[in-house]
Amino acid sequence: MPCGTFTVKKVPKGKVQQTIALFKANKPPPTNVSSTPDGSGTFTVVAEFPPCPPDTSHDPGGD
Amino acid sequence: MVYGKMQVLEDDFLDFERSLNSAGNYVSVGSDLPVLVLSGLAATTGGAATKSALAAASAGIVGAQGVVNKDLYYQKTLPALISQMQANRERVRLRIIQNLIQQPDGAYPLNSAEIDLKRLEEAGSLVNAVNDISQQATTQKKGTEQQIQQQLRSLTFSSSDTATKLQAWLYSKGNVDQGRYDALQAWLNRQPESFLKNQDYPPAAFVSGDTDAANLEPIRERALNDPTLGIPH
Repeated sequence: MPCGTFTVKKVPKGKVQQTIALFKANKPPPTNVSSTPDGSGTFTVVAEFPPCPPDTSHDPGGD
Repeated sequence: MVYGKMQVLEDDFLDFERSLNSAGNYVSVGSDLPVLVLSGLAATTGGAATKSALAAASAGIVGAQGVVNKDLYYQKTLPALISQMQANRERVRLRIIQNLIQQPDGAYPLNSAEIDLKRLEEAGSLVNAVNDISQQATTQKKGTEQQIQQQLRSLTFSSSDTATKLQAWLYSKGNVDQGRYDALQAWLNRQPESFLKNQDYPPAAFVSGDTDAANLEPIRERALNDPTLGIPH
């Protein structure tokens, strides 16, 4: 099960919905997916999964 | 009195440090290496069959190399151990001196000082130095792993050929092909990379971005060429 926060920066406007939809298709889905403009004409998409347990070595960990 | 005991402990530590350093200097020319060399020579100069002589010679050389390596490791490690012991001692010394200067006698009684003096003695031990260095290495390793994990999760959108093909395979006309997404997840979990193998690394991240830490491009290429996924390219 994925954990922690995944960030995709510099997402072109035309690819934001695709990126969000792909994250939402994850099993289990992220607890939240958001996109914010970065001021350079592109977007930052953030997908939040449950926090990683402590001492996780290889699982993508929480921020 | 406390300063007097500190001086005694300081002298003891300096003696110990000198003995360690001299052991480090002697060990490279000391007894182990010549003994092994002589053993090897003695075994090879008798009337034994050529095969066994060669085997014995080989064993002698291998053994000697082992001693050389051990000596080198010892010599290289010793300064780090001594530095760690000194650092440990300085930390305790500082605490004692601060207590002596800043605390009134009642707040820092002799019993407390004696406990700290015992700690000062223990701070100069090799075992503590090894433990501290090991602990530092473990902490550093954890920190590095966390940095790598952070980089694996922080990606920049990729418009590379492989990323675009995989994105198009998973997402078309506003819909995600859930079967393909799940198949790619299963495929990612079978890959040998430690951050992928059974880690449920999100396919969305895999097809959307790039990160130097993960170097996803060759893995995407592998996915495209894997007939089990059947991705047209």
